[in-house]
Amino acid sequence: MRVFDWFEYHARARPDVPFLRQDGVSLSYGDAERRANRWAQALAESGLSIGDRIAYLSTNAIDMGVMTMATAKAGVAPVMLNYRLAPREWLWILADSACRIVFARGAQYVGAVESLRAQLPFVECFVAVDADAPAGWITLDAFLARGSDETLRRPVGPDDMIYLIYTSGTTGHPKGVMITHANVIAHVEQSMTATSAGRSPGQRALVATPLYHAAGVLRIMTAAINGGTVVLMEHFDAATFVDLLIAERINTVNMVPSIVLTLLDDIPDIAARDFRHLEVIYYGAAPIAVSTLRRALAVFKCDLIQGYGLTESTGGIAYLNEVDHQKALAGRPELLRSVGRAVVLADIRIVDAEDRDVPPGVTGELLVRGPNVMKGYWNNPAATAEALRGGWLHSGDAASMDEDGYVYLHDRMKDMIVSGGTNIYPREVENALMEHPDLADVAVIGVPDRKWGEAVMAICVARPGRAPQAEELIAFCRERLGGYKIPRRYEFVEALPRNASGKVLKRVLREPFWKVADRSIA
Amino acid sequence: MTEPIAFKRPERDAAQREAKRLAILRSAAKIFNERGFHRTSVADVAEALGVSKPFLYYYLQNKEDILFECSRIATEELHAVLDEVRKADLPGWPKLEMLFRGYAKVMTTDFGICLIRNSVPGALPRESWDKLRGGRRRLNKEVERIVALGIADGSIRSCDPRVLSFALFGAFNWITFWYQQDRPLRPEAVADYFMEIFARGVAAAPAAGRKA
Repeated sequence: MRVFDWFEYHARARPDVPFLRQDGVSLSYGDAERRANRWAQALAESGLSIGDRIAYLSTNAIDMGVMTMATAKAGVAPVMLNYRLAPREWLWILADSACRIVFARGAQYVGAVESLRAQLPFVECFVAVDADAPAGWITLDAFLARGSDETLRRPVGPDDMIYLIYTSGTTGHPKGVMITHANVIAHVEQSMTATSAGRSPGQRALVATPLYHAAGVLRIMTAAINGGTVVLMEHFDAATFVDLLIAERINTVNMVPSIVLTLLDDIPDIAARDFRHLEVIYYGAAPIAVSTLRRALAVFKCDLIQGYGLTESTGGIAYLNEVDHQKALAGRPELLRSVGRAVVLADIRIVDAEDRDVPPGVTGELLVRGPNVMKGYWNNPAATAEALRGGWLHSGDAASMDEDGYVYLHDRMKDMIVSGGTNIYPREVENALMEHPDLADVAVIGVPDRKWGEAVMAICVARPGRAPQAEELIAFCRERLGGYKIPRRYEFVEALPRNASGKVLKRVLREPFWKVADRSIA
Repeated sequence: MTEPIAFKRPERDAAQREAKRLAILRSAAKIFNERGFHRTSVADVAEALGVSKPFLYYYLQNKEDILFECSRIATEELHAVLDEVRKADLPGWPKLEMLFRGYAKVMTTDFGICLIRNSVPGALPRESWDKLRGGRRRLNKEVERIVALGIADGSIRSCDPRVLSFALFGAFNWITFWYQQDRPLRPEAVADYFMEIFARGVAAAPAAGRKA
């Protein structure tokens, strides 16, 4: 049972069905299969074995989707780099994962990797996709010329990695999450059982979510298993998004509530548009307001389904389905604050600090167990043992569960900042700032922001006799962090409030900013 | 035949045979290190062990095989060090310190010394040499990778990981030429001293503008 078994089946059974589409260009299952074979052969020819890693730096593009099938066939795990990170963050991930080949698409990303190349002597091959190859690089065509169209037959097993996704953690450095073929196959079964959307070949999904994110790449995996079609968007823009929903006769799409709201507010004729093919809008990352739900149902005339999951759980572990949304409108609005109930084959528990079950309605840490739970963290047995202790994945999310099994999230993660739908871990930002010679201490918190939900703010203690300026600190961060993580607001204090054991009291720091706004995600 | 009593009993299991083989290899490594591989014959090894040549040939094919096995043991020990380092949840520089502390330990054993001093080009048949070189290349790559990790996490200043790797291996491999196993200087202390030199340099007057 490997994901590509389904993909190869569809390529034989219905070779002309499009697998991937972008900007009006289609790649059929038959053609995608041939290209993926050649690519897999080229990986093998380059000496890569089952379990080896490659990196891919690109915005959403058809070849990135083909690559995921090629690497799956070869048993090689792709590390899809978040293109919003800073070069130093890419360097860290490339070094941690020990990628043997780096693919970069477009002149901008080829240039970015080229500027790191002197520090990447352990990478054996650099491949330029849709861009000229600088000295020391080869083009994708030259790379593919190493292979043949013949199907690569390797003993790839269900427990081999299908991808390695890096997630920012509370400990400062990202951790590589090892997701296997079996994990993805379980996830597709779980999500398809939870959804009201159809599963027939040729079903069309629109994906604007970056493929480096689990929510993006899983849409490719789901399509490959179901024989469906993925229509890719390189960058989100509301008008094009709506046009594509209609022109591409999209059946399923995923977004965050703020995008639902953007579409409803910013597309003037949205109510007059015809979304007859749309079956399901999946949303996640935040609850939806009753008013938004009513408007969305009236305009899109489809089901809305909320999913909640972690990278470590492959995909959604709980879904609030279309029936739940109807219940909410029929007099149980509090259900909209729930992330729904556990998927099939998975169990969810809420426990106290000693991993003992808490009664319904009581808040504790959410644990999950099931065939969709990751194999572990890459090269990090200590973190793996900690996260999977007792055979349950510890989410770090504070949640409660009611008598009917509906799960409610309370504080996403104690100190995590959610800005513009993206998780930002303060520790990572603090570590970067602490490298600045003028700073003695720093704490990073989220403060209310009208546009982004939360904005990143740094409370700093300067070294004696130093007075660093905000602009200088921003520039300093820019070399080390992705733009969205950089604090825009700075406050200087004499000392940070700490508890007896020396931990910074972030609650105390946050309080003055949150007095007027209610932060709880409910 | 003049076999010592210890070697006379019939072998009961593979473990016993392996222990004997290891004892032979350790003695052989010592002799190679003292006299040099090219100036040592199988007869010399047998004589030093107090065993016959046929007895040796029962355990090992020829002189090159003995050298290869000695070097392979050192390489395996180095890879065990690497595995530990890889699993350690540490920034780049402390990882590098941990790796070279382990490296220095192996480099002060008979097998480690033999690997560096005697496994030189021409000493081994092509196939064995390629295997050893493959192992060393993996070690080099691992150090380059850890250096890159350190640059990315801010624990190592921006530098060329390959050149730094050469410098580190240069310093640590040379331990095999001066280290005296009977002296009190422990290999970890050598490693710490070396890493301190790499970390801070030795010039007394700090260059202008350097961070305190």
